[in-house]
Amino acid sequence: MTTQQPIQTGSIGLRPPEEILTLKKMGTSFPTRISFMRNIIRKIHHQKWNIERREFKLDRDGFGHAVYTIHTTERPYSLIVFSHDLAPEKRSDRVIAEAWDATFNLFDGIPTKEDIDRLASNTPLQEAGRFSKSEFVLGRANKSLRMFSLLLDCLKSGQQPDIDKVAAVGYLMRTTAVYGSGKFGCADRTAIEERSEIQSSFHAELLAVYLFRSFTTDLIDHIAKSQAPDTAVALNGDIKRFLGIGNSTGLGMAPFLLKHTRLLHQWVTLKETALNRVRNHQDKPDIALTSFKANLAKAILHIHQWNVEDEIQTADILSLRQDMYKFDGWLNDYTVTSTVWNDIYQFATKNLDTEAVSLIESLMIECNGPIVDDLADQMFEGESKIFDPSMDLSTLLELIHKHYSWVDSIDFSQPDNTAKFWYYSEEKLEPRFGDREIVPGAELEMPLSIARDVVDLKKALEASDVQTKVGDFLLTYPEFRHVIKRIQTIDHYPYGEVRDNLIHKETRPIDLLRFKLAFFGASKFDPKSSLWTRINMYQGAPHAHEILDADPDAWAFPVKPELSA
Amino acid sequence: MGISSEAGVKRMSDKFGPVSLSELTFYVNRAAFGAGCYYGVADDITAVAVSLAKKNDDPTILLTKAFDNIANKTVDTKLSKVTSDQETIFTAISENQTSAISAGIAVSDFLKMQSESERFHILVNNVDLPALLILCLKALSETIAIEKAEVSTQSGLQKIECSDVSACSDIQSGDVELTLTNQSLASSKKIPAINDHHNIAVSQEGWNGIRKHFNNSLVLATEESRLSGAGAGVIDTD
Repeated sequence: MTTQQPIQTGSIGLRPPEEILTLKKMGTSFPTRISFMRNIIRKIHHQKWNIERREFKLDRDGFGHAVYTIHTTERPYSLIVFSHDLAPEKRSDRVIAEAWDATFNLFDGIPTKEDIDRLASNTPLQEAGRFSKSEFVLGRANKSLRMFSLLLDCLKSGQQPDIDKVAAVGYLMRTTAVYGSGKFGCADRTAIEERSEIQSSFHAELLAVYLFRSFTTDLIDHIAKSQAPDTAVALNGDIKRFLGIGNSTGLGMAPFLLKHTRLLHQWVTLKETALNRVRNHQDKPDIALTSFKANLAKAILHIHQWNVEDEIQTADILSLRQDMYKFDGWLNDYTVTSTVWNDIYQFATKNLDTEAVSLIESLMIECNGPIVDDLADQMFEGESKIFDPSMDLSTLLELIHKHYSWVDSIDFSQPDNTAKFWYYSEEKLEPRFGDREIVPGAELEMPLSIARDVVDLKKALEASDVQTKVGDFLLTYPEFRHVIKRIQTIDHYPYGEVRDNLIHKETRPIDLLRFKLAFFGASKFDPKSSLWTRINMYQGAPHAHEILDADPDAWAFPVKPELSA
Repeated sequence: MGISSEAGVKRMSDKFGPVSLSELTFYVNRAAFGAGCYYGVADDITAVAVSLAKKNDDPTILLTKAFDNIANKTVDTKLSKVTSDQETIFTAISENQTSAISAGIAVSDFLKMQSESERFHILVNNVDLPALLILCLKALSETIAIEKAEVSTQSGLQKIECSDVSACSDIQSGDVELTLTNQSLASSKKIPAINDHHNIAVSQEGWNGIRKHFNNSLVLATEESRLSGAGAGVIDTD
């Protein structure tokens, strides 16, 4: 399926890919109002999707199963959750784990008892189970033991937890994998391509996560009440809303992003279009500035509550805070003009670091829902690559010059520039990023060494007759087939390529993860190494019972609630 | 039905699955690479597998044979092409047989390089699996019309129809002679998909063959790769 490309209007053009698709820039991404989770919450609210808890068969310790059904305007979907007693020695975040506190599916429709029985035998096994086209999503999660214990003790004794302690974690449970798109027999992506309610990227997966969030807060209330029926209180609604769902994200997301060039192009095009529309927008500048200042104050508070252990990210956050104060000072002295949005952008890019610029881009988009929200529903794209064997090599060289001139500065005879490689491990098919000199198996690397492959291709092309057709060239050089397809595809989808050497010694896959997770709408990036990060999803979003009445966009840059004593 | 552990694969019957298109895509693509195909070629052969699966044909047996030949280096995947007024001839650059996968892709590319409505006579020498060559052509060239497809084997001349994959998969290796017409996309008859997205039944033998080559695309897990390659801590209670 192919989406319609947005049409740019206004005098300020879209930014070139080289400016936004570097690892440095991608690694500073923030969610925006057109991110997937934000769009889902708006859809539920505006289209009045009803959510019901159909089954909640848990024992006093919270073990059993539950079913939540969401009735969209088109059809119902159900989250089926199994809650398990997990032995401490089996607790692991890694994809190679074999047991979890909770496992779940997003089911197409309303499950029968037979469906639940079938899934009870498979869902807890995760990758070792087998699923059908009735299941769109398969996932699992573990408790934050610290948070679960804190909240349970408080609620059982009739107390609400200390909000600062709640904020230190921000969720009750953390997903460690959420699979969709045909994995382990689940329904293929094509099964939802024509379903407007969930056809956008990762909407099925993130809808499941949203419903699962309700389960986690229902679970803690249930256990507290079951174990201390005389003294327990329900968790405060403001605290519930501040609790999101944690997630530990590893390397799997990075190859996805690099393989799906057209989808990447579509996502970036839409975000760039949103920013571009805002920069060109000149209507009611006074009102715009007032709205922006209110969101800015919230964003500054949000980043003050963003504290992590990772030294690199901590340094970036401290620098970001300084930059935002500097920006706030400039804004207070700013005399409003009709070009207020572009003035803000220009100041940021000329005076602030990349992380602050990215935050300000997100803020600019945040304040302009009426002119950008339509873009959020176009976040999907077909995947076939473009290939033209009749192209002559001179034209191919022109395309390389046009889209890949950045590779010319990389000397691949230097070991640092080829130090790493991407591969699939035999262990649960986990994608990994290894050191070429240490990990055996570099000959099996994934085709993600794009810059190096382009350089190698250029050498072969320069030794060939440039009038030769690509199809004839490939008869004797089939090894270049994938990179030629990629180059020809990128000529049509220029935002589909990361402009960096992805096998350099210092490459940080976490930059790719943050970029993708920001599109999801995740916040509070908490890197645990250069290879994986924790995040928070739906923190601050309205819960199922209140979503139809709440402002669906009030949860950008979530901050700790102020609780009355 | 265990697919996650090779040791767990049991041959209880000759049917496996159903598998999703996503699984077929992933496993065939990696299996092609594991057998020795280059990535760009693996992408094309995956498209062939998906095209067959959508018509409810099981692609795994034939592909396993092709992958075996590539892995065992009994075929060549690099070809030469000679064009005269009468015909275009594709030949492996070594003494080995010509890989049907490579030949199918090469002929498909050749057709895309030509004008519409032209008629071509093509000879591909010493193809390991003539039926697969035809299936690749049909899957990769939507605009192609095959007027004649014959294979000269040691036992004589044999016509290839290939309306039924299983019926033609045993055709012996030989020289494949083709008469083809390049049609415009508008006038070509596109065969509608029967199976759009799911429930692809494959044979256990075929799936085992795909899994064998798939496993050759995976890097051995070591404690070093576990710790430095994936990064995450083993225990995380938060």
